[in-house]
Amino acid sequence: MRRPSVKRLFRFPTRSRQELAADAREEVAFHVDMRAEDLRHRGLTEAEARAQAVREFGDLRLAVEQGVRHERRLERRRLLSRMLGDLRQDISLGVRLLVRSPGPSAAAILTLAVAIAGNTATFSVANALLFKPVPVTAPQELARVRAGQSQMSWPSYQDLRDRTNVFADLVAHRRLRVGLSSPDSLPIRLEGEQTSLNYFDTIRVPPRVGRTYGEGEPRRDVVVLADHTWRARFGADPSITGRLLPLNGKLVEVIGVMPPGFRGVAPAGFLTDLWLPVEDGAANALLQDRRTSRFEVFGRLRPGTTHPQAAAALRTAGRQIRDAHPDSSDTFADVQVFAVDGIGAFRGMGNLVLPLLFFLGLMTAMAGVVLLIACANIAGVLIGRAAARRREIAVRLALGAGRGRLVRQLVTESLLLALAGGGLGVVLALWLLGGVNAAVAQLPVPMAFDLQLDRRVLLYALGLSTLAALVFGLAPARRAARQDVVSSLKNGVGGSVARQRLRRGLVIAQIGACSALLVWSGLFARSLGRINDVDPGFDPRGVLLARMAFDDLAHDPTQTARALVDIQHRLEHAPGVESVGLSTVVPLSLENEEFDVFLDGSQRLRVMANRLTPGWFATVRIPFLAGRDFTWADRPGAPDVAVLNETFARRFANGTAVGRRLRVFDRDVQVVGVVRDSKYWTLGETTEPTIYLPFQQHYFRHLTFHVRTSNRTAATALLTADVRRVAPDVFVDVSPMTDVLSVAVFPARVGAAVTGAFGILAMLLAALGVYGLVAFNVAQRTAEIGVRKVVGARAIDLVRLIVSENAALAAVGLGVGLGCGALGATLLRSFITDVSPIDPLTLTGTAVLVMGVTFAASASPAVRAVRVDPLVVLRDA
Amino acid sequence: MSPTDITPLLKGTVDLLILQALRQGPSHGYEVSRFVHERTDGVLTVEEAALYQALHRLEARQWIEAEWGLSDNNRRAKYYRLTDAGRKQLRSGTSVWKRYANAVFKLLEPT
Repeated sequence: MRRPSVKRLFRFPTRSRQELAADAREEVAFHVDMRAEDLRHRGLTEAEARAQAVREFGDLRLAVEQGVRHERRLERRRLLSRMLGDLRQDISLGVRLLVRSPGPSAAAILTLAVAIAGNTATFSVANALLFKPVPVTAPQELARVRAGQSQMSWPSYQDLRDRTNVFADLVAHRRLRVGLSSPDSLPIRLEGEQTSLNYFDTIRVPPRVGRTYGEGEPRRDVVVLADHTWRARFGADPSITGRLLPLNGKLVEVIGVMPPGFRGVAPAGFLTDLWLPVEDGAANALLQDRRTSRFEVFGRLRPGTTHPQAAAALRTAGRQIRDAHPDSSDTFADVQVFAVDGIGAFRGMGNLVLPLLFFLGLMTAMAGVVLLIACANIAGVLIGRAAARRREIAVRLALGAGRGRLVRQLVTESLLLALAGGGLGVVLALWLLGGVNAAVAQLPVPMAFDLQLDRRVLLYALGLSTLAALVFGLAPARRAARQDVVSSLKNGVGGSVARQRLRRGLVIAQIGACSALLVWSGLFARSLGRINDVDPGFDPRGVLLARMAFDDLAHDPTQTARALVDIQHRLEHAPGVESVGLSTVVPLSLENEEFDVFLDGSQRLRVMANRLTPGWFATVRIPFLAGRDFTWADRPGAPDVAVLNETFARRFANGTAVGRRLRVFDRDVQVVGVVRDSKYWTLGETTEPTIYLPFQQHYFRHLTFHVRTSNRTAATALLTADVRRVAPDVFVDVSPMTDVLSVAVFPARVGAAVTGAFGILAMLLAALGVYGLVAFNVAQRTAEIGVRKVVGARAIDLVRLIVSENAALAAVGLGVGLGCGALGATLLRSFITDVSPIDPLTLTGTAVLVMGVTFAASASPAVRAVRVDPLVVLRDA
Repeated sequence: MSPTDITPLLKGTVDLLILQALRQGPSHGYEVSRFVHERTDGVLTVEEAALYQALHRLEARQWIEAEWGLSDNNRRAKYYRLTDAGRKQLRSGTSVWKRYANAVFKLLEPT
């Protein structure tokens, strides 16, 4: 029996439409002619016989048509089965070839797996942040409402809800830190969300246990838990409903637990531990105050309503509300309506999210570059393999295999490689993502990402693998198929100039890309080194932080402020305590406040802010350049005062700031002092103008005691006891201030780790690429080397011959890479502290490393060249 | 009974007749129709339209294969050939038909 594969090679090509029609016509004509001939034999005349034959046959045209249709169907089926057969053949051949050279195959698959893992992991993070829908029913109908500022007062929200009908319903909510008291230890801090009663009705997510509250809920002392809270704090107790929890000093009843992953409409990453209904409006002053804007508002749009339509309706309603209540702090000047999904969800969180997005973009770019280097490597391997298979391919071409068919065969091999690499890459990515979540969990901000693989991530990995296969497979395949049969058959090997050029180009590209990555990782590493030396402008060593948050609804601000001052006085006299101060913002801890300050009447300036008690500057050792610290006399009722940092003072008044006046919160404030600059948000920042206001005059419920003490235990004990006496429900979160610095260093550390990993990976891959090229060259030029040896070339000449070419390639790649790296680094400015994008040490280091690795990679092939035995070579040639 | 009266009965058996005709070896359509006509002493005639439709059907089922060849008078003609599957189908079809015919005979013949 003939082997089907051989038969297939000789199969006639597909028939055209015209040919099919001609065949069908011929078959019918033949039948009629045969019949006519028979009839003639029986004695009919030519014409009679013909006429009768035609008559007997019936509708000739119909028969032809049916014939054509039939043939076409058959042809299609044949084509399909041939393609499937080819595919099966390609795959089995591909697998055989991969298995036959396990070393290079495994290297290629691993290379690809690592590169795809990096890309997939990066995309998973982006996916969790931007693409996964908010886990609520029909999230596209939900829209956030912002009226100039992010928050709104409760009465304004209620007016807005009554006056607009573009929303099925509007919901108000606010974040609320609550302390869960426990009998034997300090209260546990929980991130709560206080919502209007219609919250769950609007969000339309049923609880997994128990019930939620809704419109008409008679009680306000109820709480709904998040799944993770239920698990972590209550051991997933199935009979949790009905349990009474001491929250912020009140007993509230657990009525339900939300399903896992539920976070309301908060952007990805934010954790909410529990949900509480907002208090009865009549019972709370905050809920009647139009000047206290604390609530965020979102709603479910009526079907068919667009965001601009909703915004227009809200603007009209907003104007009416403002006209009715001119004293309100809600101006409705700039009403915006936007989606709760995607990038829009992060609106108003620019300072937190922009660096994150930028970092994601950087990681995506780096992962992409690594993937390209990996592709270049594999392309190099494939070109080498194609050269070795020149004869095989030439034989197949000579036997009549189509060139298209050959290309398909070679691309199938590439796809097999890519899919194997991609599959392994996804597994690796899963492992990497576990690390990401662990790192996120260590941050002091409560965050969690839904990094589970979904269809989108898998599609991304699949698409990327396919793309990679095309990138590294197509060029070698086309080149192989285009080869000249005769010359290939005549002289088994022999390098084509074009192929050499392609491989050289690949090596230049690889070295270039890896140099760029090395520059970036070098800059990050340098920046990490520098950042430990950066002077934050304050001294965190020996300072203890005690964070706490009071609930405005449970604790009267005036009384609380007074109690806190008492606590500070008692702390000042505690054993071991050197000094004490209280502030609302801890520098470098990702907390911040920004105020609008008016200079000289009209000039507005947005500045960083902090609210302090006397003693804070001394405690963290920020020195005064002019004027005085706050005193206990700077209290409500006394003249309003402020302290500025150096930058602000310089910009505002050229050093003569003390004594000048500015407006903050519609109040006239006199500058009484200027302090030296210190870092506020990140260690890498250029200092922003900062204003300090006395805490006594500007109470805020989130605050932190700073205690410089030699006796931590005594200070902690006194503090917690005092706070518990004043507010038993408030948690006290004690940590050394040096922790803050490690948080500040965190981005630099992550950056250095990630870019370093990518850089090293790129270097290894590029080294492999160089090695492959040199080894290949030496193998191709064995005969030439032999001849050179015979005519008297010394070992050193041969080494120079082999190495110099690569050195030249590497130098070109290096030049390109350093340029691109430095250019790209200017974009990284916000991440690299105190290091110039053209940092000489980094650039030189990269150059030395790349050239060194290039030489090292050329070494073993060069040795092989030196060892070439001319006799053997010349005999074989 | 005249041959035309019997034709409607043929419908289900045309396939079987064609397969049987091809058992002798590759034939073109006209040969198949002659074969049926002559072997039944002119009792059965397959109409041309039905014949070619049946040939197409059988080819689609892969019971027969078509190939272009030269006829006795040196003309290009399409030859149909039984495949292994076709041979098997012919065997089982024949036995089914025989059982059917026997049953009909038993019923119709006066005992």
